[in-house]
Amino acid sequence: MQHYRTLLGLDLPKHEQYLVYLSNLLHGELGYSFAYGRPVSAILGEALWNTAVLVIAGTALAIVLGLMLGLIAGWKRGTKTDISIIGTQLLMYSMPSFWLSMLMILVFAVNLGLFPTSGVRTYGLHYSNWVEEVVDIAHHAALPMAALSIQLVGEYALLMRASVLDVFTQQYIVTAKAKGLSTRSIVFHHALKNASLPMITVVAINLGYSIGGAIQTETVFAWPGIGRLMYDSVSQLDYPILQGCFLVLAVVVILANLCADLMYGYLDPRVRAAG
Amino acid sequence: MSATYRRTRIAVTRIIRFSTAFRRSKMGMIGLSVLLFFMLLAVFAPYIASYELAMKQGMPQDILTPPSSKHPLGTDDVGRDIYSQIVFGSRVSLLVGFLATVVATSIGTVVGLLSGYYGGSFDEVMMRFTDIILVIPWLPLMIVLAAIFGPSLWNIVFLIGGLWWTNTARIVRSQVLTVKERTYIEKARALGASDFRIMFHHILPNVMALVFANAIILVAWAIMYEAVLSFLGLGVAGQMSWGLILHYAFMTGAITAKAWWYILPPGICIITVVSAFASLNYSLDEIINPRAKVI
Repeated sequence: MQHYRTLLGLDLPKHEQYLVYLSNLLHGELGYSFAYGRPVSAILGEALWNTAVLVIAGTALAIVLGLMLGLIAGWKRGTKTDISIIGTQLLMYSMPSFWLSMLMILVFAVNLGLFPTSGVRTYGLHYSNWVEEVVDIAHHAALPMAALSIQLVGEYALLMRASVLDVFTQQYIVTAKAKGLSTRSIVFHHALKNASLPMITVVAINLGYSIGGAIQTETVFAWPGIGRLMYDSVSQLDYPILQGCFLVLAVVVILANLCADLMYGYLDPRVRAAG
Repeated sequence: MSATYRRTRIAVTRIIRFSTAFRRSKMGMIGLSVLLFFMLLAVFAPYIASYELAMKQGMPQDILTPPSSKHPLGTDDVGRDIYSQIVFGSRVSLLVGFLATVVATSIGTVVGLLSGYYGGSFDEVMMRFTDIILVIPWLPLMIVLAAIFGPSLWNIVFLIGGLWWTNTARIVRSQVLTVKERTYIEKARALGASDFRIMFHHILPNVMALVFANAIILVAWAIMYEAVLSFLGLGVAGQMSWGLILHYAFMTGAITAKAWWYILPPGICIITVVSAFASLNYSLDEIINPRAKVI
């Protein structure tokens, strides 16, 4: 017992433990997992890769769908189309992610047998080339990715709708109308770009949340990503892994916000001029 | 005419005006009725369901049976009645939702008042703190804290309430900043009112409407996150909740057993209650915040 205490540095006072952790961190050393005995960085690397596949694909899909749905809803404000889009999105928004995932497995994997129920790859399958491997992973990723993005679509569509309505009151839209442009042209060429600006900040904030939110989806689909790793480490009291996970989360959140700020300046020259 | 009488009359007129506006909002009325339904369900749970059936394990032939006249929503993996579990589960879900909101709203209102009224370094520290909370993804943090504190009703309540007061604080603060510049505050100060009296007697009533609308949406989120924590096995121990039912359903393989009656009802309950709160919030926002009407 005492041997392990000294080995893990637990006999030092708390603040010295923290200093040791920080100095190791600066050397790129994240320590070893209590549960697996492997370096934290190696475990995190694999998990991060798996989560990135889900979150990036899910976010991209959600942005496209959310933009389109929000644009249509704002454009056809007050009509049945608008109301049904808002209604569906509110419903999706108030749906717990884990339940949606369970439902998708029940319907598409168990009842219809279209997709595998869990995991990243088919167990024991030997791939003859990389195309087969990619197809197999995509097949496994389809449901969890859809589950992740459905939740985001709701938020993005509602935000986009509000933003479109805001843009529609601007003078340049009136000018475009006065020039005799068709509604379609106004919506797609004039409103779309300006209305999607506020989305950037929200997408960036959500990126951090999605990785955390992936805990639910990854748990249900047994997808070995950061979220599931975090959940497992909590139950196994695997603190080095947890520290690593939070470090990754913090870095992702900061990077995403930085990217958003840079993108904003790039897409909106007014911001650049002011800065 | 006494001052108390006049004040009561103003309050009554306000309530009447509000309820007329509220009754006109279709979304608000639907939300309110759904909510009342679930609250009645929670209060009268022992009369409409059987606690014994919810907890008693059945005979082998009772395991995972589809809905029947004996069990309206079927049975779970150890033969317990799912209908009764859901009815009793509404108690924990609603209780956690309301209590967590009370905690979050009280902390948030007080911090927002002090921050907005005094400004200075207290304000600075508090606002930087809310900035931090805003960018930290809640769920991982909640999971870690829930695992450390252990599963109990009060721990979940203080966990959710302790993390979510920041939003209320920001809303109250920004409102206080404008209200405190009005002349009647200056008059109150000239009359010798203490800071405490100005904050809680003169400013607070002007902020309450916003606080209330914000609280409604907090309840929805608290119910949602209670379900998530319970689903992950970190919720209230020993009492049925909708999240816990789904936890058991997931752990015992109800999905591959195609036991839809085990999976659908708890989720539908969560969605219904959460969206009821959301639509209530929407209609309140419309009434309190007339600018939103344009959209």
